[in-house]
Amino acid sequence: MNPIEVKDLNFSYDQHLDVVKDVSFTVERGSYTTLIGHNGSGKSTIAKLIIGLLEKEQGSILIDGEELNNETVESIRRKIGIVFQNPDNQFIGATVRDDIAFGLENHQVDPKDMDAIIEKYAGEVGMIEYMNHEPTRLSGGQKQRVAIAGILAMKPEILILDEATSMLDPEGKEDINSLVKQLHKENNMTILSITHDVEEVMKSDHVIVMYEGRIVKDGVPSKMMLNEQELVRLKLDAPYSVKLSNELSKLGIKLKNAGNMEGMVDELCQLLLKK
Amino acid sequence: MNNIALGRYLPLDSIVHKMDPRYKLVAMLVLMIAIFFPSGYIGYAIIGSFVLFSLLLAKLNIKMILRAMKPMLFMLVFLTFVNTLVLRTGYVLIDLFGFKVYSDAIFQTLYITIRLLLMIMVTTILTASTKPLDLTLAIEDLFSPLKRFGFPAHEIAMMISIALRFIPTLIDETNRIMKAQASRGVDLKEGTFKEKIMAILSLIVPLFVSSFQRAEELADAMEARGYIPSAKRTRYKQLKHTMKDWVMMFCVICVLGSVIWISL
Amino acid sequence: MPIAFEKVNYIYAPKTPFQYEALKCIDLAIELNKITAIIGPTGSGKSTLVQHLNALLVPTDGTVYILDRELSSNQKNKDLKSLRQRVGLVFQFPEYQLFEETILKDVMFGPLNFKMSEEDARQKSMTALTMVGLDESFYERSPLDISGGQKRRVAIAGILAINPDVLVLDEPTAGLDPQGAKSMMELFVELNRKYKKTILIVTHDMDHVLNYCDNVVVMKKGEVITHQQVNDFFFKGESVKEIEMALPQRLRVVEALREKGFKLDSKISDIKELANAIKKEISHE
Repeated sequence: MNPIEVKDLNFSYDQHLDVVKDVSFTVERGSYTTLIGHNGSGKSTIAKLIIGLLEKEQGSILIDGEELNNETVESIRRKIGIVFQNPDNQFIGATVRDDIAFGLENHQVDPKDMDAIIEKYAGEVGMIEYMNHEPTRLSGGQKQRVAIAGILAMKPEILILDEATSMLDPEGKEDINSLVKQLHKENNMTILSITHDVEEVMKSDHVIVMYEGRIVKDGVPSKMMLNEQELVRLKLDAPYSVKLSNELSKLGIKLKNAGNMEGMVDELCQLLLKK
Repeated sequence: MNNIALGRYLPLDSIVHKMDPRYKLVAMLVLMIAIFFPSGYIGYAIIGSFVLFSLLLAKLNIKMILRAMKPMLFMLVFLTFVNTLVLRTGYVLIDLFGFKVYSDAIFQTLYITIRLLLMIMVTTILTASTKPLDLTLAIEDLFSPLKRFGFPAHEIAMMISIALRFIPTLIDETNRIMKAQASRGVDLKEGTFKEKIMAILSLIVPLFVSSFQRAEELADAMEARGYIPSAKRTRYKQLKHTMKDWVMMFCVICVLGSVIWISL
Repeated sequence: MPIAFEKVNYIYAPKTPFQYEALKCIDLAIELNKITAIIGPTGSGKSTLVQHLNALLVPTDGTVYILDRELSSNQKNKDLKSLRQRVGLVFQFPEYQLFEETILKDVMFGPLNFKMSEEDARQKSMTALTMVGLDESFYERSPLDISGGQKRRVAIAGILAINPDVLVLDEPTAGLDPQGAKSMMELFVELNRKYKKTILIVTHDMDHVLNYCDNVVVMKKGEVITHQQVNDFFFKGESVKEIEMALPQRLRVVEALREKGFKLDSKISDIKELANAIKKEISHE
């Protein structure tokens, strides 16, 4: 049973660009899946559909084998944590403590138990010294860490990141990326990251590429992201390693590891030493 | 803005600061009622001494209160003037070149002044010693019995606490918008009437638009975290009363009781 | 007619418990008709610095020279509005400043505020919209009804229509997708090369600094750490390593290759030259 299974999904706003057409994909348990596409390709819409914030017009969404509908949406939301793009607009509590408590309150956790849970998860995301801070005293990256702590406290199996780092500075991005990586490895969470960062895609297990509402690619990044011209047509940037290997191949050097910068560097060094 | 003590929370360390906000809120209402009974000098002396005592306990000083009274000064002078002209009962207090000032006029004005002063003192003690969020919790708790009759106590409390959380954020945003529009030549000091309207619109419209978007995103985030307004939920912050709160309540009720007794 | 900071200090909320010294004794001269990047970690004072350029902020101490004006705390700084016509400042996420009924009207707002005639303002606005890649079909649409990236472009057009000599942009590509970011940077290069505008860009993107900018100013904790030409900064001396910021991709690859035995000591200005240099070394060995 896969954590997320989407079949023939269709959705449109009234007169908007974002539309989702005949989208089908599967996210495997414990994988780090990236969903990439140009602005307006429908990728954020998919996140909202999966968590039931938007209602699909056609198709089915299965979370852990359970069909998403009006009756099941509440219980399905317990299994999925979602971090949105704007750090301020998902910070509800007056302080870090209060914000983490919000989810616990919704799930009727006993107030007596809350302090321990809050401290545990604030610690896991590295925000223990900031427990009583108001959001105005926190950076974007710190606020996103708090969002993740609030989610972890509910112990979901699936974590969806909806462009969660696009409003952060490089330090904040690095912060969140390493935290998510850690959660993926240590807690074995299933991660679905909606992004436009092509380098992040190259580090993931599985990539889904969207273009104008449809899925155009679905597979392993090192195989899917190699054609620079195609990526440009899809309004995406090619990974640097791919661009470089294309230039090298024009000069007669054909590499095997085109999708992986480290692999490429090693291969080039081998070539250097051979001659 | 920094000088207005009225309505602002002051993070001091006093007994009153630590009291249960529910009790403080109810006490304030009881005292307000007491202030409106016509209990004469003795009555106001009783109320006054209790209030002064609370003020000192809360580590506030009278200067602050007097400063808060300043805006009313003009009104009070005007009132004195009107009363002197209109109320011509009682005995003659002053005789100025044939113009007589009667006692009732002065005493009425004095009454109003004292009532005003006491009201300001009481509300200031409450707001200065209680964090806005704690007041919200108190309101939620006090109104929750009304949930049975459909009164949305929790929802109102949630709205107030979110509003409070976002006030600093909105202030920051307003500043940013003002700067952005200033960079486009907006100058609130000069310009024709039409230009000034446009200038104000250039501040208000973006603020509204972003607030609506913010509200939508916030609602999505809350829903995604399992929030259902009408559903049962627990609350992290629990208010706890102590003996001190009971004692204070008792004193306040005594004040009200004696004031009513005197008035009859 | 320089742009210079002379011993500038800026203190937020002086004499209150929230007092904070954002700029400490800044001495800086910005070269005209060039593209200068301003980089540094969050909180280093970049935003505070640039807000002095159009007199949104006035120094607590010291003097700021902008074109033919002098700003300092001991003067009565009057008529700041005329300065703002010559130094256009675009804030981060400028989408939120849009408010007019139509896109064209919104872009015309700035020029009209600076007392341009309606016809002139309209012409300049249409030109500005063309420059940012929005055609006539956008003129009558509501600015609130378009995508985030398009809103960004409308906001920038709103400042371009004022036709400032100096353009200051605070993270203009933040949150844009890679292609959007690329066309934005190319627009700035065009504005500089073709229209001779002096451009200052606050940015976190080192690739943009390397690929599009002439000079770079590095800030940290309210001070200017270094101010150099971009090529000197990246290729000569040690300043880059002290900065603790991620290198542009091209340089990271060069570093990685050098660690494993490559020399790559020729000047490498773009990816083609990198490929050539790699090929050369592999073929000659």
